[in-house]
Amino acid sequence: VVEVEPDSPAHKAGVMIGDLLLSFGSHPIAHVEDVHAQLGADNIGKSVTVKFARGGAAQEATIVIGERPRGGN
Amino acid sequence: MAIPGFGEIAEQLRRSTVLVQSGGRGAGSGSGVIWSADGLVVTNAHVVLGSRVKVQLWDGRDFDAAIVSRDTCRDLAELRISAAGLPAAAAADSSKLRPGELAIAIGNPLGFVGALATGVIHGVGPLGGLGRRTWVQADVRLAPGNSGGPLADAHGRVIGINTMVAGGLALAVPSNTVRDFLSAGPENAWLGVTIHPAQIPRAAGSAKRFGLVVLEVEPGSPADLASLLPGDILVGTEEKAFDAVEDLAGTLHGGASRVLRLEFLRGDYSKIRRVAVQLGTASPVRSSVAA
Repeated sequence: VVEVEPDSPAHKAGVMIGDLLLSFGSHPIAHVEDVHAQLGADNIGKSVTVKFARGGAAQEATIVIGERPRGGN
Repeated sequence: MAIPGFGEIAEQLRRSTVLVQSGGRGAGSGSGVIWSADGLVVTNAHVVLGSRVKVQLWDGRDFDAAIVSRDTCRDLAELRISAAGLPAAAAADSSKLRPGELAIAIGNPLGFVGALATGVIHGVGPLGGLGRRTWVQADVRLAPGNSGGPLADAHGRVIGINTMVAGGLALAVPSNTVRDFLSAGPENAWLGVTIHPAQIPRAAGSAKRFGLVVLEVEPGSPADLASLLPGDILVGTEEKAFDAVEDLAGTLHGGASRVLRLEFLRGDYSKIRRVAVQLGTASPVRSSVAA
C-alpha cells in the first residue's frame, strides 16, 4: 500500500501506507490484479476480512467494500 | 557535404532502437537504445523488472541481455548483449536543448515495432509534482512500449530516454543523466531496496511528510542485513529529512563502505525508528544507486 485515500473504506478500516496485502477474503493476493478482481460491483457493501503484514507481523482488518464516488452531482 | 534527409535520420535511429522484453516476475516490454557498438544498451529501469531480459535488434536478431546496472531513482538500466558492430546511436548534450527544437521518438508502442513520433521540445528541467529531477519535456505522443526508447533531436542524436507521460507531455531522462549514470563507478554505495515515493499522514492539521515506501528488499543486501522490511517507510537520515526520491540516491553517492544512519517508520506514522546500515557494493550485479 503506497497510498490510502482519506475516508475511504481502507482508511476507515485502519489500513496504513506500507501495509502488505496478503489475502482478501479467502483469496490470496499475489498481484495487483488479484485485488482488482475482488472489487467488482457484486461485492459493494460486503464486509471482507483482509490479512496484511505490518512491520513483519500478520494482522487482520475488516473492510466494507464501498462504491467509488463519482464526480459532479 | 551531403546532408541526410529526415527519412534517413529516422531510419538510422530506428536501427539503434531495440525491443526489450523482460520475463519472469515483473514481466513486461519496452524499448532500448544501443549506446555503444560493442553491446551496451540503455533502457528504463522499469522496463527490466523481470529476472530474464531479451533484446531484439531492428534486423530481428534476439539476444539474452545481462543487467549490468539498474538505477530506479533515475529510472535507467544498463544492459549488455554479446554482439559487436552494432549501429550505436550518437548522444547530444541535453543541456544545450532549447524550447521549439524538433524532437523524434522511436519505440515499440502497443506492439508497433519501430514506430516514430515527432514533436517539439517544451523545455528541460524539473516538472511540478515530480521532485527535483530534470526532464526533457516534449509534446511527442508516447504510448506504453515507448519506455526506454530514444528521444532524439533533428540530427538523430539522442537527447533523452523516453520514460513517462505527464500533463500531456512526454518526459525523457536527459542524455547527460544517462552519461552520468553510465560513468558512475562501482564505488557508489548500494542499499538493496526498491522504493516508491509517498505522502505520509501526520497528526491532524500538520502537513504530510514525504517518505519512501520500501517495496522490496534484496536478500543479503545491506538493507536486509540491517533488518529493513518491505513496508518500512524511509523518511531521512539523521542529518536530513528526505523530500525527494533523489535524496536517497544522494546519500548513496560515492564512498561505498560506510555506515548510513537511516530514519524510518514501521506501522506507526508518528514513531520514528532508526537503523544503522553498513553500506556496501552490489555483487555480482551492481545497482549503482539503490532505490
